Amino acid sequence: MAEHGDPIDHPAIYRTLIFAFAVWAGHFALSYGAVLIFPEQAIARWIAGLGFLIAAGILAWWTLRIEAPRPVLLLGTVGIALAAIAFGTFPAIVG
Amino acid sequence: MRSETGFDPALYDRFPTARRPDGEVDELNEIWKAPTGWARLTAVNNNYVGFWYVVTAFGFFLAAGVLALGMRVQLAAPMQDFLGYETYNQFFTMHGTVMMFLFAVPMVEAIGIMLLPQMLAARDLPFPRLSAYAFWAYFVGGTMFFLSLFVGLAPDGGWFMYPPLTSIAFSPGINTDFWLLGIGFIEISAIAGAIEIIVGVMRTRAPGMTLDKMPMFAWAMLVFAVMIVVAFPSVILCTMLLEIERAFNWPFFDATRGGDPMLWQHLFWFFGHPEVYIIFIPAAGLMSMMVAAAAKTKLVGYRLNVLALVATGFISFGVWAHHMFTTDMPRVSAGYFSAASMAVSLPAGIQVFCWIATLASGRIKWTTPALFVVGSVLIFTVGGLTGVMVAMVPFDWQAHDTYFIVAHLHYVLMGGMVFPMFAAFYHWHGMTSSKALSERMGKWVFWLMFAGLHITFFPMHLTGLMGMPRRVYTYLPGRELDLLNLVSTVGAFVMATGVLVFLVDCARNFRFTVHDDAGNLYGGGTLEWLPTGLYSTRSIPLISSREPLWDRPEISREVEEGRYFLPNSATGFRETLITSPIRAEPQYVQLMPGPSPWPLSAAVFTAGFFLSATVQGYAFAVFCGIIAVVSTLRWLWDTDRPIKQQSADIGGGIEVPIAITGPKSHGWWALNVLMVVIGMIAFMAIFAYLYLYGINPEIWSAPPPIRQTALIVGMEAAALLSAWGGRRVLASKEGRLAEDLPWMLEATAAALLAGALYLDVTGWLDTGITPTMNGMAATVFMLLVLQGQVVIVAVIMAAYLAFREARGIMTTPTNVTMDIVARFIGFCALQGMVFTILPRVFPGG
Repeated sequence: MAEHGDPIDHPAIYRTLIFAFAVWAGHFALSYGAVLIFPEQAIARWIAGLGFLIAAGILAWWTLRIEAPRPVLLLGTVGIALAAIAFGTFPAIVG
Repeated sequence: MRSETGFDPALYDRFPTARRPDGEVDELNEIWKAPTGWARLTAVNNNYVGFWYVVTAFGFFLAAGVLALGMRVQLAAPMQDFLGYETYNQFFTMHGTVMMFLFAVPMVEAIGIMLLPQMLAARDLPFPRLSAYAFWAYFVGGTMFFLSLFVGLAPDGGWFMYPPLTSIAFSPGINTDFWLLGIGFIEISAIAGAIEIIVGVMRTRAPGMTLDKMPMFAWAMLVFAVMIVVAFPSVILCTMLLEIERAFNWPFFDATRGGDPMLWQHLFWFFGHPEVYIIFIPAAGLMSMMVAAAAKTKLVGYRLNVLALVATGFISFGVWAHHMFTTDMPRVSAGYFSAASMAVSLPAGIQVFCWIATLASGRIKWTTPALFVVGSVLIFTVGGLTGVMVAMVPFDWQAHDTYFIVAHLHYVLMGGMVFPMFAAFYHWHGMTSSKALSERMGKWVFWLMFAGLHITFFPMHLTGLMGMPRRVYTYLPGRELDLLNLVSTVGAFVMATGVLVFLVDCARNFRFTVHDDAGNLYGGGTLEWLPTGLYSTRSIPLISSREPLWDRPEISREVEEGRYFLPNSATGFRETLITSPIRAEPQYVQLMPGPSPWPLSAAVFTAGFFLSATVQGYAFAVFCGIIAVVSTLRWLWDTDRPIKQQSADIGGGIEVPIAITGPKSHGWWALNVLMVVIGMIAFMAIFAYLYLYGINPEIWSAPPPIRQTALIVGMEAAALLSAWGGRRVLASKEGRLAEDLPWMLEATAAALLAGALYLDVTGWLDTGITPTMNGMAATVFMLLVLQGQVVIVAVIMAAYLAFREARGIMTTPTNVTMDIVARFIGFCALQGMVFTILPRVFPGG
């Protein structure tokens, strides 16, 4: 079965594989760090929410700077990372 | 076609070349032959080291399995006295520890060392002596650790060794010390293997094997090794902290003196949960390759699988505290870990769907490995589903520390690692055995193990939900637990029977060979199935697809006729081709070391060092440490001996250099990885410092004066400049002798670091604190201990460099040893600055 799309050794793809999940890691560290520093305080939740907006903005900037048509794998990577970041922000809103 | 290095891809059109003379094969055989008799123990070829590694890891699997059977006999009925509670504690501690540290991780590293060179068509992994050291360290250390069980000194605090249970007050014997020092030592072996694998996968792939054409197992091993490098320093640090607390009374985990036992849990689980994925990911790589072979079709979603592996590698570092939901965590942070624990199931799900799609799109032949592959998908899915259940905080509160968790983790680990391992044994045994294993017996093995697993562990979900706690040596009658436990015990013996049938099959049919193997029994399409000898493949092929043997079956013959890269020995020595990390373009020929007794000696005496320290025989520990260092230096002595030949024809008239230095070299990569390991230990130590400050800010006292701080940082900056200057001076001496100035600059740098450390230590002592005083003082002095360790290494390296110069083997204008020493000293200087500045500035006076 032939595989479609650009190969992983395309710089935009392998860099995105690392970058997108590094953004996830940064958001996670920020959110968790905020709770450690401000336990049980509303500011920790606000930091996580703000972090989500910043992370989403960074991922959007990263994606838009790559010329269209953008590789499907790149979009999938950014999508999964963004979903994981959004998922990780939920506890700040509803937890 | 793009180029990564300036290499002209049009040169690939020259391959396959004309057939080469057969006599070149004899030369390769002569160069790569392994010693015989007892000298075989000095062999470093991956064929031997990888096989020994696999056999040893499997031996530990059997030993830990026997312990499990002992526990199941004890629990077959209520109030049994087959094992006393003390022995039972040792059994479950050793079972968990051996399975996790001596079986699972070493086994996947072992399979990697055995398969990767052939799979990448390299002559060997880039540091064969490091592989040998990693194996011997593991073998000697692991054996001594396991034997502690027979003298009643085995650890008994559970495989995660929580303080305060394991602190000196509640575990005064040396059982805990065996665990702490034994595991710390074995982790060194795991990290050595990880460095080898990272550099091997990134730099020794066959030309043309771009990132997009790498076998899935190579991808998995790359992610696995990076995870080891990031995660294992944490457990090295926490074992160091607890051992120092026990031996010298530094209160890191003592809540009465400003320490905190929760610090242990954070450090341990930062390693401990990624460990599960560290075990699973290589097995997933094996699975991806085997499902394709079983279904006789290409893997569906190769690139999605790679994405899933990388995603798992990252997200698994955000789940560690889900083991701590029942501690007093803030609710929101528990939510973050819960969310990450559920998020990590997304990439795992992608992989499972890819495997199912591959099996569905092909035509499955129900061979033994195919059965194990499909069985493991089923088992792993069950374990994954209960994993999502316990990722939910309220459910975890109910199920924590019950047999539900025992069931969950065994489904995950058996489905995610043990069954794939058995599948891999069957799938790849044709590479190392002259006879094939029996298909009929293999099917018995599968069905016995598959049935046994469910009979054993499925009832544990129920006993757990009924409230039966884990790690307790018995239970009371009349609580409706009797029958379920008896069923579990029967299941354990059914599973053990399956393993026994496997052993019988091996005894009857498996015959180790490095020459006349049984071959590609299950129709794999990747390079490990090319004809090989101890030199791996006769010539290193040009790769144009992921399954070259399926797409161009004639490649086997062409490789054997020497029609690709390095068809002979271009230098007359052991060598392999180093290629670029992304597109695998040929870069240079690496000279490789041959058999040596020194890795074995270094490993034995390193083990002696740790064992002596365990029993507090410090003088003998120092002796062993010195011999280990000398052995290591001796092993390295002839690995940097450049030859006069500057370049080599690697086939097709393509000339590449021999043994280069700098960022293009494989040594540069290895040192970088090592610095990441040391940097992670430093990072986790800083986390410990800040964590204790967050818990107990009231015990923090004033730091030394700022002027002394500036002096120390100035000395460290001078050391950095001096180390850098040594390389520059050497570079300016092109065509001349190196003389004394380069090594003297490195020695000066090391001396400056030692002086800075002395001032740092005395500065803190002058403020009136001692390491035993409280948690703050203990962590401050721990940072200095860590800096002291790297400074000692820097001093030894500078002396080693001077000795090499004195013997006239420091080449100009560049030299690998100089490169490594200077960069390591530079790293020490930077680490020293961080360790000096941080505790003196934060939180300040």
